Amino acid sequence: MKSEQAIIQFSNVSKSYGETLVLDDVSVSIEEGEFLMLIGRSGCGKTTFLKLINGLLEPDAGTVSVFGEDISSVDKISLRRSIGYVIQSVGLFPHMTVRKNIEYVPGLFRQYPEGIWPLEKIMKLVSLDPDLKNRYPAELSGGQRQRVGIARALAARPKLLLMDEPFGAVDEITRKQLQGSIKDIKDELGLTIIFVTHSVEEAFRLGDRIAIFEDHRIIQIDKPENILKNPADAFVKALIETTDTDGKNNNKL
Amino acid sequence: MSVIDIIIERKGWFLGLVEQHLILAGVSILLAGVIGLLLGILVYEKKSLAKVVLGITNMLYTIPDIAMFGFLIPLTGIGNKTAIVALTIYALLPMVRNTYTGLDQVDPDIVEAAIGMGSTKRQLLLKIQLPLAFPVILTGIRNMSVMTISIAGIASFIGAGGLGQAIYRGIATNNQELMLAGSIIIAAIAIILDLLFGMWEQGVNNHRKFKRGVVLVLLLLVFLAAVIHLNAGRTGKQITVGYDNTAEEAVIANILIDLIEEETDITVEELGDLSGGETVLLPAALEGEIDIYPEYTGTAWLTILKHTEIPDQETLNAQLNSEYKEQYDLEWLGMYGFNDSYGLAVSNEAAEKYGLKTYSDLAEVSENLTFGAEPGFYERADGYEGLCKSYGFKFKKHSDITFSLKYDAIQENKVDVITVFTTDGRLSGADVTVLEDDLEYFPKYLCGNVIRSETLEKYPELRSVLEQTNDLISDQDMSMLNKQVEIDGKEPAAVAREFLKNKGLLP
Ligand SMILES: Nc1ncnc2c1ncn2[C@@H]1O[C@H](COP(=O)(O)OP(=O)(O)OP(=O)(O)O)[C@@H](O)[C@H]1O
Ligand SMILES: [Mg+2]
Repeated sequence: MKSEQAIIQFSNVSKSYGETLVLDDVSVSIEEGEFLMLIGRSGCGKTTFLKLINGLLEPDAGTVSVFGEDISSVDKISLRRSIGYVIQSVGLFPHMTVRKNIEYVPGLFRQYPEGIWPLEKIMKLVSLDPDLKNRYPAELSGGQRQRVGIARALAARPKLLLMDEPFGAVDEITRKQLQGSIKDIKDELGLTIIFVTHSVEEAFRLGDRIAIFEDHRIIQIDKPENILKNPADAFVKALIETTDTDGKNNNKL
Repeated sequence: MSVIDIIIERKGWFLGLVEQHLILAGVSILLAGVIGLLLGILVYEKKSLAKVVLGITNMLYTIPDIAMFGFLIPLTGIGNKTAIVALTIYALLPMVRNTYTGLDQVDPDIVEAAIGMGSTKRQLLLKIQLPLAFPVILTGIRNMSVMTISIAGIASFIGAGGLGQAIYRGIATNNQELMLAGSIIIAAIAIILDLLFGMWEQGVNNHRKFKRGVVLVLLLLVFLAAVIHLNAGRTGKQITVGYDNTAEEAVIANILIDLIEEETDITVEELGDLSGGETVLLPAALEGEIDIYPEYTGTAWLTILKHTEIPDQETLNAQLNSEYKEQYDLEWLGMYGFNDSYGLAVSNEAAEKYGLKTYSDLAEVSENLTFGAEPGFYERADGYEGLCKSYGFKFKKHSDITFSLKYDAIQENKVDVITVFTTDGRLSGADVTVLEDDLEYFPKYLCGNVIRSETLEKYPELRSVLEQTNDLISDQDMSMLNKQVEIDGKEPAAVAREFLKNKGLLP
């Protein structure tokens, strides 16, 4: 445990879907302001981990605390409104324009919350041309859609951002650009970000810490340099094999 | 006359029917739309209810329309109310099913995204699920609307307005063009509606065009309703004449309508071709669905007031009026004069040979004659037996003849005396003489107007119009008018008008 306050605390959390065990007795604490990268094989439970944080799923055993409170006993609606969520399949609302999509979460409040950025600013933050604001999702490229998804998650100015493979469908140049902007956004807003990726390079480039999922557990969670120095086991070792200190690695999971 | 000519000639009438039809169908579509949508949402939210609700709506959907109307009449009476209930029930199924299907097929990822961002159940439904389900729901609305326009045609069988009246009138008077005209207009409305919805549906997937589509269709409907309403032209004064589905009552009703519209500025609606006769008309008048209807003294006295003794006609009429006033707040005003009752007829030849004018004349020679009537006449106590006792008839022979063959039988001298209805259209021009019931054995079925007292108070000018109908039509006149409708296939409205012109009551 660090001196900073834990914004998320998993205590002995287990989760299965029917017979399929996904997470087994996971305990982890994430500090406020942290940029945590989640990496692991497909199907190892990364998305499940995120959904346990915003209450889309409930643990079978153990407790999940967010903002210092056990979420089984808080109002899920307001919890979710204070957590930005970028879903894996993007999930833009096809019947709404870019503008309406981005303004969706602020619009859920009984009173439009104060201090919301102007639309243009949010769009620029994720490198979207503001001229696109009246387009429908079907009229955007895959990468543009992903960025609208990120903008939508940021619009209500959450303190915590869950991002499930947000940069899957963008080219390498845009990806670099977006990686840069997400770091800036995080610093500017003092966000805590949980970020799922399949790119080892991305994990090492962005993460304050990296959590490596395997065998229904987090087998190692640490700063990038510590993982490089002391890989927990052969699996981690293989994963980071070709990664040098610059974080150059072409491995993908 | 061709179908087109009929439509052009009776343009005003048809426009009125179109308006009624659209209102009838429109209200049903709106009701079914709202109820069906809510049920569909309920079923989607509570999946355990889905089987039951869909099962029930499915079952209701399979009830034949005529039967459905039949079930509803005891509950909601006749007229537009019942029609709207029935049409709404039919329209529910497509609505519920499509709402359910539409909601069910919304991309679960999108729903999860919306929940994950903190939507309440209501926000999820209103902002995400319903808009995304709308194309499927719209298909449901389209099918249900087109269907309702068509089925609304049947509603006239239970006295509702709309284009079905043209069809039903056409059937009742064997006027194929009229039937066809009604059907064609219904089909045309259905097709136009379907095309409009089709255009809307095409626009629905393009979200930009979609909003314009909604506005366009709504504007068009409002415009259409306005144009039709203006054309159908209403004064504020309006009453409704109701009648049974016999040629006789149709003619009488049209005579009433013509006289009232000629002499007052009241617009007369008709709620016609009501099957079920007195069991339907009286309740309809009590409900205020109709204001005036033709009624027969015999029916009123025996069937409705359930008297068993028959006093002399003057006493009966007076008592009838006071009891109707007291019990139902209805008044008898204007007796047409003709008597639609049982009667005895002999061939002209026999009448001449024996000098027959009355039943008493007939009694003197009855040993020489044979008698024919439908089987039922021999079974009733007040039938054959009572008749023979009263007059002392001793017919040589009596036999069963079905109703439709009577006139042939007497023409071919197979029988000498038959029972007839005294205003039967076939009497007119047939080679028979109707004798006078001089001892008044058969109860009289004198036709008169029954009117709601309330209506009479509101429109006192009706009194003098209705009084004009006193002794307007003799038995022979009525028989001749019936013949023109039943045998010659003329329209009751035309027959009525011609009669009034001949009497000098219409210009
Ligand atoms: N609703 C569900 N019902 C049953 N099994 C599920 C469900 N959701 C996920 N699973 C299973 O749980 C496991 C973990 O799923 P999860 O989505 O968390 O994986 P992931 O790490 O996000 O994978 P990916 O990298 O492919 O997105 C997988 O084996 C998946 O098949
Ligand atoms: Mg995943």
